[in-house]
Amino acid sequence: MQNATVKAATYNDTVVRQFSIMAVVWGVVGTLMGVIIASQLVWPELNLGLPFTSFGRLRPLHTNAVIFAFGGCALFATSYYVVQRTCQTRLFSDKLSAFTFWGWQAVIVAAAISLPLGYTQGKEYGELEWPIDILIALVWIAYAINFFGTIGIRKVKHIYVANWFYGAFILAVALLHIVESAAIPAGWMKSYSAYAGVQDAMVQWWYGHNAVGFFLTAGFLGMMYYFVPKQAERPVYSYSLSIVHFWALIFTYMWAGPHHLHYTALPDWTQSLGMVLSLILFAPSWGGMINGIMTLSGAWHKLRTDPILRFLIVSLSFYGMSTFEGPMMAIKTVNALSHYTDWTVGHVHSGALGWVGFVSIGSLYFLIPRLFGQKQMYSVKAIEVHFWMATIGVVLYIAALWISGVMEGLMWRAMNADGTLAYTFVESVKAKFPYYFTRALGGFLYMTGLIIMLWNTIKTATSGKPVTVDVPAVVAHA
Amino acid sequence: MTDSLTAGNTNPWQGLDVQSEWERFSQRHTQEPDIWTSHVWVDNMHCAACSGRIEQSVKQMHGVLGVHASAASKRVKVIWDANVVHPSQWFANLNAIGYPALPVNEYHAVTDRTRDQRKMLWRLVVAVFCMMQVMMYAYPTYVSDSNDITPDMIQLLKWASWLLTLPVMLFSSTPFLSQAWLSLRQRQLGMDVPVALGIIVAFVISTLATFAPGGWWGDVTYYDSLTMFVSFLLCGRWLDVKLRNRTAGALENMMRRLPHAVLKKNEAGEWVQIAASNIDVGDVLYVRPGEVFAADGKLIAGNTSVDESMLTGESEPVLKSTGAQVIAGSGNLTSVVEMQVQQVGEGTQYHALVNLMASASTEKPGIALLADKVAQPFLWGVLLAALFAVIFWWTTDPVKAVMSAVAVLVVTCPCALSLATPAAMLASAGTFAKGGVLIRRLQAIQALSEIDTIVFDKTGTLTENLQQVVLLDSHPDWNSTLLLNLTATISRDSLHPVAKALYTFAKKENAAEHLPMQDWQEIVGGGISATLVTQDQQSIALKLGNASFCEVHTEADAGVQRLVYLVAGHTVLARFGLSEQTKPQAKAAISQLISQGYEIQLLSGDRIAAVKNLAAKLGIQVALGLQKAENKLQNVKALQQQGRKVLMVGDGLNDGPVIAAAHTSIAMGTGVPLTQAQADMVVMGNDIGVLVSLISHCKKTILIVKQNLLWAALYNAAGVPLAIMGLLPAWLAGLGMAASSLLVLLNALRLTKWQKGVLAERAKVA
Amino acid sequence: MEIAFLLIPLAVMLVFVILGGLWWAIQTGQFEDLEEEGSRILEQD
Repeated sequence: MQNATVKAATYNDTVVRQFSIMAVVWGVVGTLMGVIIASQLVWPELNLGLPFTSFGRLRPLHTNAVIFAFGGCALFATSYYVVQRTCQTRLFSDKLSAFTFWGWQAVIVAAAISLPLGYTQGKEYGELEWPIDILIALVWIAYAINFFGTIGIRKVKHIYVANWFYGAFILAVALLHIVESAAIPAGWMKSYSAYAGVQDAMVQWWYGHNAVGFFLTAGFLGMMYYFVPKQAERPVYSYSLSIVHFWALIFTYMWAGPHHLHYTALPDWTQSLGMVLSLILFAPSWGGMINGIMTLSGAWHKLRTDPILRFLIVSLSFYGMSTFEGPMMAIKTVNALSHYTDWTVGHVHSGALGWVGFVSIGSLYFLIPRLFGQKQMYSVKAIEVHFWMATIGVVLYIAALWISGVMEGLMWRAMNADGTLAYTFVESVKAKFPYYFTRALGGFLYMTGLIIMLWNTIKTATSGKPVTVDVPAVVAHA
Repeated sequence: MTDSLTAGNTNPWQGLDVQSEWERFSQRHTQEPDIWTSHVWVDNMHCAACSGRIEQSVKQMHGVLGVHASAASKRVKVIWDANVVHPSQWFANLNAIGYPALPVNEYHAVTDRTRDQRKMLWRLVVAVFCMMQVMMYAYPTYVSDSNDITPDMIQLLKWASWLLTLPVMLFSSTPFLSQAWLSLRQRQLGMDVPVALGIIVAFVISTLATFAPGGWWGDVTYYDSLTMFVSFLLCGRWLDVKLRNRTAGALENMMRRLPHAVLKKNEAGEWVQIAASNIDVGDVLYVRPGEVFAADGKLIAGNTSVDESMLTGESEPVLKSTGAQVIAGSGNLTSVVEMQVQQVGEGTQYHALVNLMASASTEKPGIALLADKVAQPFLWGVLLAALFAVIFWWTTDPVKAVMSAVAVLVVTCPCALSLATPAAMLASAGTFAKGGVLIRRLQAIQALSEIDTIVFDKTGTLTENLQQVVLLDSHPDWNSTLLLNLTATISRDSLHPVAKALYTFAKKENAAEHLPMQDWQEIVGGGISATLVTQDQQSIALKLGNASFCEVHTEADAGVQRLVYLVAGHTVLARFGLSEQTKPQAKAAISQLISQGYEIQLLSGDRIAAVKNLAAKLGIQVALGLQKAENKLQNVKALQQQGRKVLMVGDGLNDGPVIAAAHTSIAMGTGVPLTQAQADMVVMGNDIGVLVSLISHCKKTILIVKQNLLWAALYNAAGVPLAIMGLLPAWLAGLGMAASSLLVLLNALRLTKWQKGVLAERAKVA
Repeated sequence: MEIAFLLIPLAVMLVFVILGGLWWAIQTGQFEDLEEEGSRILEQD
């Protein structure tokens, strides 16, 4: 009996609070960047003629800010919260927790400075230069130790499915980051990729697609599997299916990347393989989506009154839509039309704004009041407003880019009877103007929604105060 | 034990505070001897909120180290320190918060079959996942032309495939490999031998092609085919295990019926909780409504109604008064009773029932034995065919030779053949068991499908017991209304079926039931006595019961099955006759059987007139009365000499030679003592209509068995030549094999739907 | 496509790591009482 609990343990919610707040802040910043570059496409004068504010430098800043700053902070916050609650134990190490928070913020700030200054490795989603890459690696290793350490000291025998998803996300991102970032430094802010030519392209999209798979899907599925049941107050529709979903997803995801390189110098067989695996991916993705949505079966009425639940469920519909659209676009004949057009951008945003954004926003709305000892957000009405602004924003955005993308693709391939191209490139650019405007408007609405959320968050935080939650009394034995 | 006794005697669970007691439902911690993990059963834990409450409350107890409550299995796991706390304390705690618990004795006997099923599933999962990966690496070689993919890349892909095939070889295929090895060691040719051979040959050839390309084995690998057919094979096996377990599940549900713990009266006259396994003959047990009787015995206090449907197939509750017999496994429905134990464990009727089911499910029917007999030569044939394929192709193309042989080995895997019979039979047996029909020998399904003559060897099978009441005669000095009033009043409170019948009869004649009566008493095996208080304060002693109880002379045949007297002193006031009534479904069932072409006979030991009467009512042509066992035997033999196949339907008792002589037999009727029933099938309850659908379902079963066997034969006849000709790649052979097994199983699953009873059958005809 | 000589072995290794994880999970009884575990998260906070 000597190892029975001595004092009541508490959860480490400090780090969860920090990441949650910053997720909202970076959400506003990242979408602001998006609105700026979307506007630059409509009104090129907004480039201001400065190198720092040019589209080419701000675009990676936008992607990094929304994926790694907003998405990353949301993942840190929720994974730290979920792993503690489902394992009924405090985080493995407070110091590592603090290090991951401050380290990650440092990475984001470094990105925000270096990217406009033009320091880039030139790889999509992996632009940051090698010193920042090393900092990312350090933070990520600390994160992995902290997360798996917490799993190791858990008080509940079963590891909840959300933790499996988070765990796979952490390990896969570590592996991807290391392989992708392999580079030979040539000075403090300059390096050359370890791979050359088509090899580099292959690694780039192996990384790029798996970043989508493990960063933007696995991690957020972890979020979904915890917060959807919690908010709906019902267990997940089929827990066995969620386990199958997990294993099927991680077994099939790794090799879908080459579909980003259809009709390139990549050998044909690799492209075909990428296509086939992308099609196979459809099955586990939809299994997961149905499982998430059906969690609400018998409680659909809750959707009418609960805007947070609506965020979560709508996010799943977007997940289903994107994971249907993605495999379709990976088919080579469809890809022949869609590749390099705005359709791809629209597809990414239906996933990013609709799925990743909505599920994070829903989860944060669940978390924030609890972290500050409140029953609900300062204004539920504001959540309602946010929901509608975000939904209309996303719909405007993706509808505009669908039309623009398909139109663009058709214009590019249109030929005259004598075999000459029917349109010049600039004609296709001109034709896209109204859609670019609509897209910027959609993005603006989405951003405004996040600003309302930031206001709501500040109000909630200031009207409550940070609370410390006791770990339920479990004896250290068993 | 002593300290818990002195600690105050209010806790009813202190009987559990002895190590030998708690060991029954607890496990000692592997390192710390004082830490125990116990499993208890909480019946009214229905939801997550219940389990949460239980965990919270028990967790707070000093000495309890961990609690896990599972609402789904209604079980709570408690980890506790024997130095600090005793089971009785946390049992009391559970009771206090409204969740009375019972120890789970057989918790550790996690059944092998669920483990088997799970392991099979994981083998399948590993095989499927590896197959998908291997397919991925095999895919490029199919789609690319030779200048698109470099040889070193092909080599790399082969190595990757080889590595990914290893788990399939080492883990997923072990059931086939080890089974084959086992049978070979016993110098037998098991049905896994060709499959195992196929797997090994394909793997060896592919391995050679990967690491030493260029020999006669060429450089083509078959990892994709190999992993695919192992996956298909496992899929078939898994479904097979699952289907078997479904049948076994019905059995297990029955065996789980008995309670885990009971309340027993100790020497001090207090009720203490003891484990059900500790009940002894002579113990007095306290049984609350909703509980199940844990042993056979006699009620010694209280009246109640009892649900014996599991043992009798009769869904109507049975009334039991003090002195009545109750049987283990039946449920107490209405009131608290005390029972004295007469039989426990092995001796109970319940146990006999469970044994009966267990033995039926393991026995191989004749048609399956036949399949087994055919299997040996078949397997040799397969090996020869494979050898033939090798020889045939060797000179032209050694690789094709070997792979054709592999295809032969895989395509002929006699899974479908060996599944054909048991899958269908077990599916039917399981379905029957759910509907209250127990199959003693699976053989009986086949036998029942072949019969053409049905002999009822008891009138009781076709009639209901003592339901019809007639007032035969009454004392001329007494007003018959008054007599009926007296009868109604006196019989009102009795639970005896005869009294019930009389009461119903009197009420039907508009009798009143509130005459002033005193000293009401029921004597088991006799009747009821009471004292009537008349308006002028006179007391008249009344008795209602059989002849000896009422002290009247037994009479000769009165044309009824039973006589009941109402007497005042020694004066017979009224005489009631109770006789059997034809079962409501009997006529419909018999006429249906006749219309289906069955010859129906009634051979009864009853009086000739009664038998003839009954036969006429039901439309049975041949009916003989006053038949003794030897007469019946003669009759059956005579029928058989005419080449008829005879089904005997009776109570299954005392007619050993007749039952043995008949083609097959069915015992039916309420309360048939199963231990003694010798019939091939036992139909619980007395719904004669079941017979019709039972026979037709047996026919359907045999039809499906034949379909399955035919399919397996056709499939082999088509597959083997194709494989020998080299037209069947190994993966397609695997797919064909799995599909044929699956088809057999799905076909058998059609038998799990059984519409019981004569009406349903009629609807189908119409 | 020399990169395949890095990526494919890496992928095979990964499959084995994943299989190992799956094996560990089964062996330690992670998947014993699944539906029950699904509702467990609703019980505490």
